[in-house]
Amino acid sequence: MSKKNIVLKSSNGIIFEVEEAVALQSETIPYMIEDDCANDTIPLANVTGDILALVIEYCKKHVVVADGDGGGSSSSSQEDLKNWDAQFMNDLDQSKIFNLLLAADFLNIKTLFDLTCQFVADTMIKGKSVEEVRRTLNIEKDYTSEEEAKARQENEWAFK
Amino acid sequence: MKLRLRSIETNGTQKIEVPDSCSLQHLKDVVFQRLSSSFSTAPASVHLSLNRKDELVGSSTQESLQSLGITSGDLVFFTSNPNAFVPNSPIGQSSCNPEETKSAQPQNLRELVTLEPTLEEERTLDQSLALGTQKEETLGFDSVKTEILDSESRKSDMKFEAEENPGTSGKVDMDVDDDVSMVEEGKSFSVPCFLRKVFRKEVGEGGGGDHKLLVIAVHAVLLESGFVGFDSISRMKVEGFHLPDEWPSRAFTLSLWYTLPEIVNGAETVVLKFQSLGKYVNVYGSLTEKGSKSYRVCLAEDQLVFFLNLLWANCESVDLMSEKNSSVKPEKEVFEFWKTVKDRLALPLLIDLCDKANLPPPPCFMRLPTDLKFKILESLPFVDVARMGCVSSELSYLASNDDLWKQKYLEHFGNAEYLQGGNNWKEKFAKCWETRKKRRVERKIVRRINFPVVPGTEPMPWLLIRDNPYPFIVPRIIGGDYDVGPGFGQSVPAVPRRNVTPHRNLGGRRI
Repeated sequence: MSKKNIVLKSSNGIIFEVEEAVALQSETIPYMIEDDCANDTIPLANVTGDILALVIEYCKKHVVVADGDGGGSSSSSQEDLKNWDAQFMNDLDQSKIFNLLLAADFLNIKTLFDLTCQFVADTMIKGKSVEEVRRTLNIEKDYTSEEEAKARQENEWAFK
Repeated sequence: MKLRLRSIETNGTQKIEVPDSCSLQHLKDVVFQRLSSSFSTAPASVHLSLNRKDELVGSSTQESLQSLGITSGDLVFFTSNPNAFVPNSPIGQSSCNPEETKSAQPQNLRELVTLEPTLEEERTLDQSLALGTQKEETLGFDSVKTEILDSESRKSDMKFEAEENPGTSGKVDMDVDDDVSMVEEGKSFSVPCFLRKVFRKEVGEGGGGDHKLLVIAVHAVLLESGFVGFDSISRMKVEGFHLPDEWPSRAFTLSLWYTLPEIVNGAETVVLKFQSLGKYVNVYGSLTEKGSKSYRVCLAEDQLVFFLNLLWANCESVDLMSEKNSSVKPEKEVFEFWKTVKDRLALPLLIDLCDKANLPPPPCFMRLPTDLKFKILESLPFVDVARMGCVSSELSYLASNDDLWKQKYLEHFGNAEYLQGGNNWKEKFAKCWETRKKRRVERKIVRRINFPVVPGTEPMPWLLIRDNPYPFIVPRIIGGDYDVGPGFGQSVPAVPRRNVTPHRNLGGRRI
């Protein structure tokens, strides 16, 4: 099978050329290829270059492993991939993470989307106090203190 | 400038390239990197000489190499043996024995102290990486972000104590080398490149004094987040920024202003204030307007500057650390700093500023489409979902979503086991949770009063206390007295607890 390359163009005009297998981890891109067969370049209007680079880095890593040993089922490669994922996410700051989440959603890359959601849940919310969550996620407190007390009371059962 | 480095012990020579404005301290940091890679020693400090005899000692460790008479192409001897060279400067001590140096010369103290924590830290980092456990990862993440000065200084004090034992440090270093080869394959992220670019542009003549390097690094984070510098006096946007030439060496304060390219005439600005407190630098950020919310990060300057120096050195000579030692990670450390400043300072400021200037805000949790928020809530344990319900009114609404709680319910209690009562899934969940918890407590109580347990048989404690102490109260169906109460969330009426013992319900065993 000859390897076909796909050219992706970010919203700020940066061009990425990737193997078809890499790009097809996105479930959105195939539709775009069909729609846009006249032109080889697929424009991704919602994704900026730096984020698209991250998405491609992720997809490349995952496509390699999937090719690797018979579907990537060997436990060690799964383990490696997990570590790689953790490291990959850990190397991003918050605004990149949310941008990546939006991109994964838009491009419909399920594994990346799940990974990002889980990462946000685990590192920014889980186990944190209400105040810490507000600070980490930059959430404005729009409660009066009575409302807050009420909300706390309603959820009291979970904290006991 | 290009330099050749020759080891006194092995006579091996290596070529390096450092910035022209490189300081003595900087060079030593660089040499130290080399040393640890080439022979796995753990030098308490690096000793340099031009003639194999007299040690190079500057009047301050920040003195530039040029002012010491070193020029491009020079051969510099180095050793980790403190007695190999005789110090030739009046400021240098009569002996370079580390103990004495430490007590007498503050600059060297700094050096001794900063070098070793590096190792220790890197080792912890590597370990946590190698283990890859989430817990440790999170720990590392949090420790960088620790805001409370107290705990931070306590932590580093402890670290220093640990490191003063030379016996262990040798071992530590070996470990670093071993681990390093196993951990990651020099993954490139753009932060170092960007920092280097800004350093090259902003660190002018005379090299980067410590504060300067730190301030520029913070400046770089702001630039990368989309801010532009702003001159509060001329009220103009500025390319780059001009730092005072004279840097007070100890405590200092400094303010920098920023705005966004989209904001006309810098109508809205944010201000960063730097304040140095001993080993730490506090950076406060807020909208310039009085009474705005202010954000703070606290940076351990010693360690940070050490890593920044290394990172910078790496840029000037690409192959310096790119051999086997490429993953001794100044990058890693610097990135933790980067993330802290960006997430804690730049992003909140950007959100505030965009809000103020009516610009589209950067993506943040609250700006995500609702289905993505749900997806994240779904990924949380239910306790955290309940807690999210206390964070803000929008989240309170989202976090009581019925589908969400249905999913949590099924996860925890399986398929519709207690399908009674409750108007929605959250209430159902709460009830089941209470019931289940109560059972646990009862089981504990019963065990505590020591019911005889026949070995080998599963005790059914409440069989023994099944007699209803209030026999005339009609037992409610399964859900206990919560069915009596007007609804979930109301405080349980002070009925005697026994009453709530699920009368005929042994359902707990089925869980």
